[in-house]
Amino acid sequence: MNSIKRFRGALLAVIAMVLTMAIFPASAIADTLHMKDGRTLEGTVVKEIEGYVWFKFMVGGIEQTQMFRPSDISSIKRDVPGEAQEPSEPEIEAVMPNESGEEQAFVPGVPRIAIITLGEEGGKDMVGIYMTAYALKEALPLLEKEHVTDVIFRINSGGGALLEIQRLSDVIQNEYKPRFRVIAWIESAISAAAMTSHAVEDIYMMPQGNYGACTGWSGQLVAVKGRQLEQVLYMMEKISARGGHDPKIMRAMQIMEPLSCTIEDNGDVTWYQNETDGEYLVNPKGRILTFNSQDAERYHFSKGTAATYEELGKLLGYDEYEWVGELIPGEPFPISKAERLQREFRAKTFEDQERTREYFDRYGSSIAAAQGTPRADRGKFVNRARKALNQLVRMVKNNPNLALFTFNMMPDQFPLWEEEQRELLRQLMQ
Amino acid sequence: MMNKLNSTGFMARSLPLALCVGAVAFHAVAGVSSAARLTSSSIWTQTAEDTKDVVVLTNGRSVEGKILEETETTVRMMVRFAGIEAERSFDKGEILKITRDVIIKSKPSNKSTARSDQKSDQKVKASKVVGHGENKVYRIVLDGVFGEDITQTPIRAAVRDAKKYDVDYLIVEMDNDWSQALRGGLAENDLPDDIGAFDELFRAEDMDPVFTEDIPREWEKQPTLVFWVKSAMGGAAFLPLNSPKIYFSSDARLGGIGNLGNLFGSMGDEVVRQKQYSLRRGHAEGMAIRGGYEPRLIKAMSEREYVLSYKIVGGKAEFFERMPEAGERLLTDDGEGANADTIQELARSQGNDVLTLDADTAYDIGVSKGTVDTFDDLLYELDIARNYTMIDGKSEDIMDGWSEGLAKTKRTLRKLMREYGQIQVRAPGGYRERTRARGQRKSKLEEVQRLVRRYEEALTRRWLGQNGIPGDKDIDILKERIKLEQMQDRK
Repeated sequence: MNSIKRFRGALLAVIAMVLTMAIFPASAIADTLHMKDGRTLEGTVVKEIEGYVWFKFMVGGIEQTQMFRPSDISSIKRDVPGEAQEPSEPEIEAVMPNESGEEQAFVPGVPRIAIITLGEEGGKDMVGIYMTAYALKEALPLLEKEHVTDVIFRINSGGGALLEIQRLSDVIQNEYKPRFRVIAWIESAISAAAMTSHAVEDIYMMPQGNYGACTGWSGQLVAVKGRQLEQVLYMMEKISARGGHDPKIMRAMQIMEPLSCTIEDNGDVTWYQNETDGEYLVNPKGRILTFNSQDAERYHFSKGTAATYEELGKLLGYDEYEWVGELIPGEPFPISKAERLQREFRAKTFEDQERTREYFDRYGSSIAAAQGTPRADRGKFVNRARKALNQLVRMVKNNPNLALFTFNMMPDQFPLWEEEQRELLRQLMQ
Repeated sequence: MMNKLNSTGFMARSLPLALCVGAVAFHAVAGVSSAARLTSSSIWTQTAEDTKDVVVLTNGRSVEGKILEETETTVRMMVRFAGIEAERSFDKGEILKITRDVIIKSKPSNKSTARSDQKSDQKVKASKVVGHGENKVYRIVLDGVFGEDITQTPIRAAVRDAKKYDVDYLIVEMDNDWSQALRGGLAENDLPDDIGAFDELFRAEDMDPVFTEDIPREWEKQPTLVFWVKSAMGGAAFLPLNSPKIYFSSDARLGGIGNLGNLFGSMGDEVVRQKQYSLRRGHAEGMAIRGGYEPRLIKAMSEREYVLSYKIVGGKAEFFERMPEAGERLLTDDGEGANADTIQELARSQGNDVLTLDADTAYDIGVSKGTVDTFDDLLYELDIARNYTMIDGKSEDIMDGWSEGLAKTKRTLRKLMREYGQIQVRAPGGYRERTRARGQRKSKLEEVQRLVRRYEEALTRRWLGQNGIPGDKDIDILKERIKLEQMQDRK
């Protein structure tokens, strides 16, 4: 009976795959995308869901895939004789077996939305340690396995390391956007967290949400200056372009530049890097901008405000959609496998961060004890040191960025350090 | 050097300096405040201890105090405001009724008396059994020191207790201690409003999920959450803002988060200080927005240079970021030049460089739904006075149990660490005696660790440091070292 069920599941999965290919047959054909802003893009429609189009095209000789909203698109001309096509309506329900062997129905063409938290309360929020490109990449196979089409990043972070911003932005732009419609849902995105979220076009806020305060600093409130500052400003200009945000907004969040704006009747917003040209003063000179949810929505920076995932779902513009994950009592939204992975990653990292001094102390003191003990009696101390070393190694394996933040070395240098330590332990026993 | 864009991680490093600056400023103000109070207190005690005059205003609110002078057009009276006496004048045009010499009993002025009120007078106990109506009411009194007595663990436990009864109204009475005793001064005097307690916001953020996340998520039937503010100062000011229903007592105040701009003094670069202010405003404004309040009030409460006025249009307040024009009222001026609060005003908490809401203003601008001085009045305002059942819950035991446990824990921790330091290897000092001493030290550390873990959220780093109590993770390291010593020892 079970084998029949497995066979049926596998067969249906194959059918689902064939159907998916049949529904989106245009992936190998040259298409033209006419944008409402007047641009015409030549390329290939890779995927379409509820009017959202993933379009592969060349920019400066580099192929890229970008998602466009229905509101951005004027028309699609396909390389098929005849008229522009509407996306096919899904008619057949496929069945996807999950890991437990149970069968979970899903409808191709109906958006499947997963929420992934980036940062959380309780000190698990630092960009670079708890919010990392590595952990986001690790989630990709799980999202694909669950046939996710839309990923919502629920952001709750007070900031972190500058160096992780570009990496996170690259993963979002190059790995996530070609595969999914990406949405940022902001509980708190301060500093590096806002700079990361800035690569996302569709930003929604929670009522209590905040977004901004992106000034780089170190030590006793000393600002990043000079050439390094220019590099960060330039990086954020490029990331602003990725998210379709006017770069003046991010500048006002970084360096006390004033910001004003005018909102046209059609909803278009024109931004000015001064206090006077715009109808609304968004940020006075001498201040650093942080949006609250009201201002973000008022100035059309965010697309809306939602307190719960149900409210957010209604704002996404779909007639029909599915949430991916398990509804667990006490949890504020369905927990997908990818979300579970993020939480486990943060929990392990947190434990390691809390215990780092203990690991180091145990390792160092054990080596010192071994060195001060006759060779014949060193075994117990070397074993103890080895256990502590293993904890340090596991810590970096779970979160490679800890090589940098804890050991002050690049992740690829860590194996060398580990080998040196193991050699030291071997020598102690010789 | 690692460049950071972190927001709050800075706090641990900056705290000692911030506290140090705050303490110096506080002592200067405290001296003036005490002197000012002494000059007028005798008048109050002689004439107003047993009776009071009550002036009912046309807007429905009443002001209590002692009338000093009455002319054809005005009434000048001495009122007591947050424990400090002040004169106020009213146009007779705004007075509906004056009642003189109303007999009063002495009223508790702050947290410590409020608590004894609950315990000895048994007012709360008595009221618990009142009523058989269909609206189930549960009351949680948050008094004591914000962040220590008022903290997430007991609040969560009390709210969970309320959940058991499926209550319709969850009434949270906020009456935090804002006395100078918190900063080493006299308990009789209040702290100034601009003492720079804005960063207690982050403690409020530890607590607000109990109301904003746990209840919506865990309660099948959503209760009406009501905050009844008696004293919501410092971090406690943020907590009520998460609820759309706030009532004030007539001498209540909500604020004490002024001078955000002085939080870091002249440390570092201006652009980074601005970033720090900006992100804090962003967090606090978010709380106000979630509760349905005007976020600009946060700026008014925290920034000296910010100007905010308002006028009532169609029963609602409209706000203007400028000095008031005709028909408008000023909330805060820019604090510059002649607008700067005087030391007399600051000592009496009457300044307007930063906004601290009193009952009248809070009602005017729609933050408070009404002014009530008794629990019965509150029930009346909620329109359930004739149809309610007071739940005989455990909140009082929970909150008091936590406070007592915390106080006892602090004493015990000091004692344990003293004992830990006194452990010695007994004669003759052999392997057995050394092992025994290590065992005793480990045992003491484990006791310390158990207590530190249990009350971690209420034991500040500052307190732990001042009393030489190691943190949880430090204890792990100390225990490991003892273990290693034992391994190294030989018979």
